[in-house]
Amino acid sequence: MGIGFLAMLAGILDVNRDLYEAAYIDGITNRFQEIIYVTIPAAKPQMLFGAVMAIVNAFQNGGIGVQLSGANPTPGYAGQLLATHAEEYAFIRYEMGYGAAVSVLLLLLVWVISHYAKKLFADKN
Amino acid sequence: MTRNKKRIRIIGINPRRFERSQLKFYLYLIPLAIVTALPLLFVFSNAFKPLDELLVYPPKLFTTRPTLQNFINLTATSSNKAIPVTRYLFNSILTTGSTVLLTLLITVATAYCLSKKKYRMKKFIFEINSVALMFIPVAVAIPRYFIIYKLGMIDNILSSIVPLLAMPVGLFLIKQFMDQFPDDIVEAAQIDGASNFMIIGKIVMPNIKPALATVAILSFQTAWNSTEASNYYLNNEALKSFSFYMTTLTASSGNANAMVGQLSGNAIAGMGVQAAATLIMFLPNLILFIVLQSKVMNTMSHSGMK
Repeated sequence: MGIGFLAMLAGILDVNRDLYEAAYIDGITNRFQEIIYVTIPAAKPQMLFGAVMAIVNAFQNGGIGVQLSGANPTPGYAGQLLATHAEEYAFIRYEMGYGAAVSVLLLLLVWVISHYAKKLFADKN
Repeated sequence: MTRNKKRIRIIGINPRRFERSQLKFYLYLIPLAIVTALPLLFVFSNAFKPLDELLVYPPKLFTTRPTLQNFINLTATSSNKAIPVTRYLFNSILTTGSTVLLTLLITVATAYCLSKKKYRMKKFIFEINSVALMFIPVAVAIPRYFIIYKLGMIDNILSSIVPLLAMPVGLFLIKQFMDQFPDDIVEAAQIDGASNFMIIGKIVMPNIKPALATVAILSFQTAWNSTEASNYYLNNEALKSFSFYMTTLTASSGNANAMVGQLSGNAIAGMGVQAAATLIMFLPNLILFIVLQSKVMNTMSHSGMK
């Protein structure tokens, strides 16, 4: 989460304080509405960044299984993910072509999903 | 609900200092902070534990007999080798420092171009950057080696700097942040006759400091923890980084199962050295984060742009 957290922190801190005052004058009454109507819309670009990074990292993080078991492939292929799969074929079995193909597939997968995330969070104006 | 009552609440939105109504947040946040801080505490106390306490099961969080022996051992590990630990540290500090500085300059200039200039293919170029963000490191390892090889940077300290300069994450972040910075100010500066570099240096940079701090932290962490160059591009031991040196400690002593045959002394003694090295690796990250994080806060409270 690291990067996304930093980005969102910067985004939230950068929200113009006057917006809150303006929002209160326009009729919001509590902190929850503050978050929904002011903080989240103002920090949307940073949230988009956080979402994309979370997606990318979730797909790329294959290392934990390998680190814990101390072997790639993991015992019984129980902890194998796309990233470790690509690494195993490319650098252990030396089937570079297959490894490259898997990593392209992974790239496409991440790209499509983060496109969907951009649709969700993109600025409408 | 009179106007007056609303006024009072508005002042209460963001109190300047501690207020009693914040207690409920602390009640939730302090336990959370303690849980998050436990691994950090563990790293710290591990580095100061004597050997027998390091091997205690279940592991203890605090040490009863703190000692500096691990750090002394760490410098001693290299005493019989040609290259002292400090040489690795120097390499790491040099490459990390220049990586951070150059990354910031390149990234800001690129982001300025992508955010404030108008030309064809701009969207497409930014999309390429977003795709570059999604590559897994494994996929780029071999092409990267070829590029470094063709550039003639094998066995050159530059090879631990140059590959890290392209930072899609940082570009993405700064560009997003710069989009919020009003175009009018840039245009006003152009009318006043400022060159592109002056606009970047005097107008854009001071206003995107939070993003700059974030990118500085990120690029520092990547550069400081990177073992790629030392593993693949550098054969000369004197040019390798401290993080690489740490992996050699781990490889020769950390994996107890693989090293059962060698348990006679060195492998176990390595545990303490490794704990000390982990702390040294980790400390700059923490310090930089704390320093820059407060800087982020500082810029925020001072920047009153409307």
